[in-house]
Order: sequence, then structure tokens, then C-alpha cells
Amino acid sequence: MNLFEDYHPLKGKMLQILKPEGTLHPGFRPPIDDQKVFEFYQKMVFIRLADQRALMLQRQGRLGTYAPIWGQEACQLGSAIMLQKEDWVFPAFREIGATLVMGIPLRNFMLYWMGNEKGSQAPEGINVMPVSIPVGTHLLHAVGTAWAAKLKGEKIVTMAYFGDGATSKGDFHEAMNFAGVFKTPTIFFCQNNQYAISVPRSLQTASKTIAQKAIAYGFEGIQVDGNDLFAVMVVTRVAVEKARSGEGPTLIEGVTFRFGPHTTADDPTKYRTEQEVESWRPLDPLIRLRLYLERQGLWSERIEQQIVEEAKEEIDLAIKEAESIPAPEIDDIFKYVFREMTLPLKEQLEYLKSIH
Amino acid sequence: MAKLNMVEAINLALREEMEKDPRIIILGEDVGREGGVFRVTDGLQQRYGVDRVIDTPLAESGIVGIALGMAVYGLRPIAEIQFEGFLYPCLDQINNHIGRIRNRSRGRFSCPLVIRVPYGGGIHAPEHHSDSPEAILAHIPGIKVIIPSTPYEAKGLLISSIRDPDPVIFLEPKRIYRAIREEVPEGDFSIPLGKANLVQEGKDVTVVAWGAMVREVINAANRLREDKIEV
Repeated sequence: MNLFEDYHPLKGKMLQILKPEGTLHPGFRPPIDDQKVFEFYQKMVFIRLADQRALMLQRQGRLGTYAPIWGQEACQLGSAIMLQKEDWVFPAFREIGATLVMGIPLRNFMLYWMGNEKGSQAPEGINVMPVSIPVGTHLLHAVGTAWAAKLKGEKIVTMAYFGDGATSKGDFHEAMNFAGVFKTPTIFFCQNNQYAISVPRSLQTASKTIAQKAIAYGFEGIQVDGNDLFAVMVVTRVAVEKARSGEGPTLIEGVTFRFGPHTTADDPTKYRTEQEVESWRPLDPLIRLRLYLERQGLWSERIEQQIVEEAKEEIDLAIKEAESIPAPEIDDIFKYVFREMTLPLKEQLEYLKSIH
Repeated sequence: MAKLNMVEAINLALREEMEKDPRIIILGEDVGREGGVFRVTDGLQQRYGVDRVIDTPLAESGIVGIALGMAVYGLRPIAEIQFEGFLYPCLDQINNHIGRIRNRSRGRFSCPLVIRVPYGGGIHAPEHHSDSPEAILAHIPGIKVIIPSTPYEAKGLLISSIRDPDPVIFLEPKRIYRAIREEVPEGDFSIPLGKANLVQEGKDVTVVAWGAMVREVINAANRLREDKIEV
């Protein structure tokens, strides 16, 4: 089967493998064995609990403004899990899932949202760029890095995460256009979560799908059920293989829903109805996977309890570590501006220290 | 020693640095086949090929945003923005990302790139082709803004800019692109960034000038000498 032809965006089809009730569509198999499915379910539970904890910390004043992932776990885990260690990820600001999968410690993630930029320092060997808050601007970086690797003859893949709102930006157009012309090994992963803060998807674009935008740039786009871990994995695997073999970029539209607010600074009841939110509940990526596992005899209340307890312990530890890291020193404000501190910066640093 | 104008001096610096460092690539609008609208990159695509001197789509923010992605991965991109009036879409990338990536990642990632931009008036160009945006740029943290005022300086400062581990915006005063010819040595010489050039010493007036205005100031100072005013 040719995925990109069978699910061509203009055919109005979206790939779904795992039905909401936890059974598979006829003719499909999970892309991984059941033991792996269980492991990934466990990771998704971890991501959701860590996300909830971040929200809680924000309400307690222990963490700044936060953008929760709640509902988009399958999009991020299912895609990032298909990458290799040498591949690069360019996150937006809701990417707790993808960044943890790539190996960013939860401690760093929490530290960043607590306001310490040390949290954005990816450990050596983990190619995850810092959170990118100006919407859509980082797609260009993903194209640049992919292109550089291609010019150097290194077979890496770059993955940029963004939302439906970002597709309205000029940088989205420029990044897609460059990627198409120069066939860069870039995957554009759009998590269409239906809202850009309060503005619904229907007001972002008159295109029927976001996936179909790829057609205009001369490469493949595909729409996938973003709450279906299996479908996200299958689509991403094909896009990664394609990129790695020199066949260029892909736009993936993961259709999903943000159950939480845009950030902790926002009140979603102002722009969407409870009915709309409820209509998405049965499509929750965790519930679906749990129903699947239950049918395979790999899930029970007792197992769930155990998973949750283990996750909570690990999360507690990460938060403890993050909170024990001292606040940045005055030197830190100055010493990373350039590799060598310039004379004016040295003078400013001395002055600040003298009055501090 | 050859007498070169500023366009030729910059071209020489690019050619020599590209010869030495295979990580250097040039990207921009019309920089390849055309050799740039001011011919600054003339002959470089023939010499180094289409993978190192790249004609890009017409998208300024794209050019510099992509250059960041390349620099982070270990290339040394030199981006050309055709005229300073078209630099403004890049400010988002320059201010929010290029100038900050080292700081934001606490040194894990850095962005050694050069953005070359012909700037300033005096060539009878249409509007949006004669701006002097250096004051805006100089206030952005994390980037260095360099402006040569002679062909000799252009070569030496560009070499330093290319070798600098941090992002540099290299503004080229287009009014004097071909107005001055002076001896410019071949081969390795560089002028350190961040130090002004003391043209002459006087006791009455201090004038600070850069780019195309340096020549005007020197002429003015010579005339003031007749009035016994030392600049």
C-alpha cells in the first residue's frame, strides 16, 4: 500500500488504525508488539501526569505560565519515538511529550517553565532545540538544519512541531517552500488541536485540511488521527524513511484536541462549549490505548495503579531536583551573550555586581 | 599589491575564506548565477558550485532563519540580504532567535553566521533601497554590527566576521562600493571586531563616523583645517 496515495489529502481521508473503542480497523495491525504498546502506554501516562503536575505547580506559584499537552500525547509520543538519536527536534511550546521522548530530562523541562534558562540547555548528544515561543518561526530552523545535514552528506531527519495557528504564518510558507525546492529531510508535524488560543481552525484557513497545503509546495501531506498512537507511528515511520532516503519533506497533520487551556493564563470556556469538549472525550488517546491493552489482557485497574505510582515517584524526584537548583547568578545573564564577553558587557557586569 | 574597490575586496575575502573553510556557504537572492545585484559574489558559484553558493527563493526571513538552522548544525553560512530595506522581515529571526540561541541554550547551541547587507543611500535607488538601520540593529543583544568604511577595512573586517563564533550583521555602505580604490593585501589578514579606527587626531572637535560618512568627514576635516580647526 502507498500511504501517501491512499490517504492523499484531497481524497478527504484520515488514517486511523485504532478505533475509539480500542479495536483495530480491518486489515491493520499495530506497528509494534503488545509489550511495546504497553511500554508506550506507560510513557503516555507519565507524560500526562507530568503535565498535570506542571499545571498544579503553576497554581501553587511554583512554576510560571504553562502550556499543557493534555490530549496531544499520542501525536508527540507516536512521532518522536520514530526518530533516531542523531535526528533533531524543533519544538514549539507544548512539547513535553516529544522532548521527553528525545531524552530531555523532566527536571530540565520543569526548570525551564520555572523560569530558569538552564532548563533549555539540552544535554550533550540530545538534539532538541529550546522551546520556540514566537509561533512558527522555528520551522525555518528545522529546514536549515536538515539542509545543512544534506549538504554534509549526513542522513539525519529534522522534525518540527507546531499547531494549526502556525500554518497561517509567513514563516510556515517560507519553510515549506524552501523544504520543497531543496528537498530537505524535514518533517513538519502539525498538531491540529482545533484552536489557536481562542481562534478555531475554521478561522485560520479556508483549506479543507492542513495536510493539503503540502500539495502546493510539491511534496506529500497526510492527515492522521492524532489521537491514535498506531496511526501516528505508521505515518511518521513512512515520513522518516522517506526523508532519510533523500526523498524530501512531508507535512503530517495530526488531528487532535487540546483538552486543557492554551496556557494557564487562558479561560477556554470563553470560546468553546462543554459539548464540544465532551465530544472529544471518547477519542482521548490514553483511553483508546488502554481499551486496546485491556482486550489483550495487559491492562487492569491494579496495573494502572502501579504505573501511576511509579510515574508519580519519578515526577516527584524530577521536581525536587528542579527546585533544588539554585537561581541563576548575575554572571549567567552576561556570559552566554557571546562566546567571549565583549568589553561593554564586562563593564555592565561589573557595574551590576557593584550595586547588587 | 592590487588596488581594489570595496566590492572587489569583499569578493576576495569571500573567495579566500571559502577556499580555506569548507563549512562556509553563501545563500541569498541572486547571489549565484547573477553574482549578486552588486556583483559582490561574482564568480563564486562558478568556483565553488551550486551547493556552496545558493540562489534561494525570494524570502528574506526564510534565508536568515534557515541560516540559523545551518549554523547550529556546524556550517558557517553567509547570508546576503539584497537591500537593507528588505531586512525588516528578518528582525523576528535576528532578535528572537539568532541573537539569543547561545544564551537561551546556555551555550549548548551557537549561531556563527554572517548576514551581509548593502545599506545606505546615495546610489539613486528607489525607496526602500536607501535605509540606514544600524541604530536599530546595534541595540539587539547577541549580534555584532560591523560597518567598514574602506576596501581594506571591508576585507579585514569581513574575514574577522566570518571567523567570529557569533552572529554578525555586516553592513556594506553601497554608496562607496566602487568609489574608493586602495591597496588591499591578498591572503590572511584580519581586523579585530569591536575596535574603532582612529583616522586622525586633533584638539578641537571629535567626530565619530562610520560607513560612507567617514570619507565625507575626512574631507570636511581637511577644509576645517584651513579655518584652524583641528578635527
